Amino acid sequence: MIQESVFIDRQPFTRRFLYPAMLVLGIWVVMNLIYANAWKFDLGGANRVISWVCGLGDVIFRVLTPVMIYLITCSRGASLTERVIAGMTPSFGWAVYQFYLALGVFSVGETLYYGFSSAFLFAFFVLISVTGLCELVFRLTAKQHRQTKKQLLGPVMAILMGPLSVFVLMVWGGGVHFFYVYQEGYKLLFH
Amino acid sequence: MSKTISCYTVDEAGTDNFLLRYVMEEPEMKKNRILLMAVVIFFNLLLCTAVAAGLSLPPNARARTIEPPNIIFILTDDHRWDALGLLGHPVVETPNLDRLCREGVRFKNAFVTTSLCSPSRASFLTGQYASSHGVKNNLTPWNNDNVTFLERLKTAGYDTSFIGKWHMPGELPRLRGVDQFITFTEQGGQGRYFDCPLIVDGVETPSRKHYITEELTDYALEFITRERENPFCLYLSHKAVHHQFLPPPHIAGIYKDRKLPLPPEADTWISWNVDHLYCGLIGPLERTYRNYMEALYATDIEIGRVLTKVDELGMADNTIIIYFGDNGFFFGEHRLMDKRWAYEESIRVPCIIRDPRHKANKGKVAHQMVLNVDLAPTILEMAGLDPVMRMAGQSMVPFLKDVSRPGRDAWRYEYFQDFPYRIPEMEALRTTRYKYIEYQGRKPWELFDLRVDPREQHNLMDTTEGRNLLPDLQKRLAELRKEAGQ
Repeated sequence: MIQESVFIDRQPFTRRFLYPAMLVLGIWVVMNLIYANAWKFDLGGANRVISWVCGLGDVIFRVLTPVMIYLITCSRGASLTERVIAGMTPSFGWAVYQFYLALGVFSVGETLYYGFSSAFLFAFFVLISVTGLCELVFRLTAKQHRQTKKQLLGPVMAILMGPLSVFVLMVWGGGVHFFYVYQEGYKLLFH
Repeated sequence: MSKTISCYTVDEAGTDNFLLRYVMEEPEMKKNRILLMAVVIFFNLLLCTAVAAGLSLPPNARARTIEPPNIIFILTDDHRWDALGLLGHPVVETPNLDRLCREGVRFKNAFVTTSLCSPSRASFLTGQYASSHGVKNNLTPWNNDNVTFLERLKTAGYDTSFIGKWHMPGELPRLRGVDQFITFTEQGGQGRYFDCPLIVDGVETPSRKHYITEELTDYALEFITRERENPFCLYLSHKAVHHQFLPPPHIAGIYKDRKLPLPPEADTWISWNVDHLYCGLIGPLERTYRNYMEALYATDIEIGRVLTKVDELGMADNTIIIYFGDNGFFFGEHRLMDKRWAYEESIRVPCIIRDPRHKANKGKVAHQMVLNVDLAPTILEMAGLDPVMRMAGQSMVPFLKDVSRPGRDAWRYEYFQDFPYRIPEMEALRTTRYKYIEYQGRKPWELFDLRVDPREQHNLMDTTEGRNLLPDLQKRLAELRKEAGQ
């Protein structure tokens, strides 16, 4: 196993996975709470600045979480699965919240299908792409890997998911083509 | 001594007509009198025939003996009510719509009964609510059994043309009563701002102009200019100013330095919300807002071309021009983008009518609440026709004659689920003072006093005031629901 060969010093589960995952999730939650509520307080012009920072920060943070996670967890001996899951924690929290909101409007079946809409697919594949990039860098730079055969196909494939999803979901017909394919699927399933 | 005999007949209208008078006089005088009498009889018979023929005509045809007006209806997409230069908007300039306001009547309380393109457009055409005409959202198709006001105008002898955005689900319709049908099917019927191929009477036709608003206006001017014996009705339905809110190159960037009037709850990244992504609103709010205003300015220029053409052709005195938006738009109000919700920014639209027959009221502002479903009965009345088909709307013509005349006290708003947009189904009551909204699902119901809270920020539902108001509002909503056959 690749991940087993790179461990320098495998720390306990809480330190190598749980705490880092909770840290990024906590940062994301706080940032979201500030973003959603900053406008309600009389802070002069500071409201808009805070909203601007936290609003942009929310998206950037979710996208770049794998970078932060890899920096923390690799040195603590986290496995590949642990690194990937920890890097997705804020996005997972985001998705759960979005599904909760969707359930207030759609049926359970519709909500499941909602998960395949362009916003979620885009968020997922971009995250996979960034994770792949982190993993690639890790495998290229980890000392132990220099002495073994490098397995880079997986990370490279993951990286390609990002541009591919950008093309299919955003560029192809300006994003409209996929949207209408998706809507046709909805009509077939639920109408 | 002379002897006079008079004879009276009664015509079909019940009017006494003096027809004959025999005069027993001298022979020469008698000859002249007989000749005169023959002439009188001839003209009386002619008159009787004309009256009888008139009575045998249907009421519509009788009204048509007055010269029927030409009608130009211009519909834009997502044009919110306050985006008019005349109203002092700090960014957009709309000199031609302002002119229309000055020369016509502006309805400051104009609304749509469903704030979504497809249902609203079907309501304009049919005078019916979405729950009646069946186009409930952007997924449910148009029913070809629906009767449009264009069909009625055609039977009354009008030349009719539909030019522009159809955008209703399903195949392109078989629009009865439309002589010319020019539309587009690109991007699910939304069309493209640039180089959008058109469907001209069923034939796919390459674009002739780079920018779609100019292209549609060109077709409209060709229709207006066409030589004809009949009056005409033009339904000019623009793609603009729907997303992606793209202005033509020569206008792009003209508002880049203008300060935007964003609401306090808005922020730059509001469009990153999942629901807003589906509306194509990716990117900073400020950029979207400026693009919207520039696209609107470009649209105003094209409306100006129509007004100029009407003037040039000397038909302004017999051409009614009606301008409407199909729904409003949020720019961060309630932390929302797009439309759909029952809040004012979404349901309120610009509505201007320039009817040369009511010049006394030009430049006036009408305060009555008017709706998209009012368009069809209004146009039919303008053309001297009765709204024989079932319509929920009421004619706006009485308000053109008398802008102070009382209008409706309340009306009903409805919105149906439109997957994947996460907006709950809702029904609302809008009175002259209050708005009461019932949602499906978890979202709490809302009640606002628009007089003291025009931005709808303070829900009265759990207040004493709200509890006192609720029974009457719910009763009124139930009445309106019943009237609509729901």
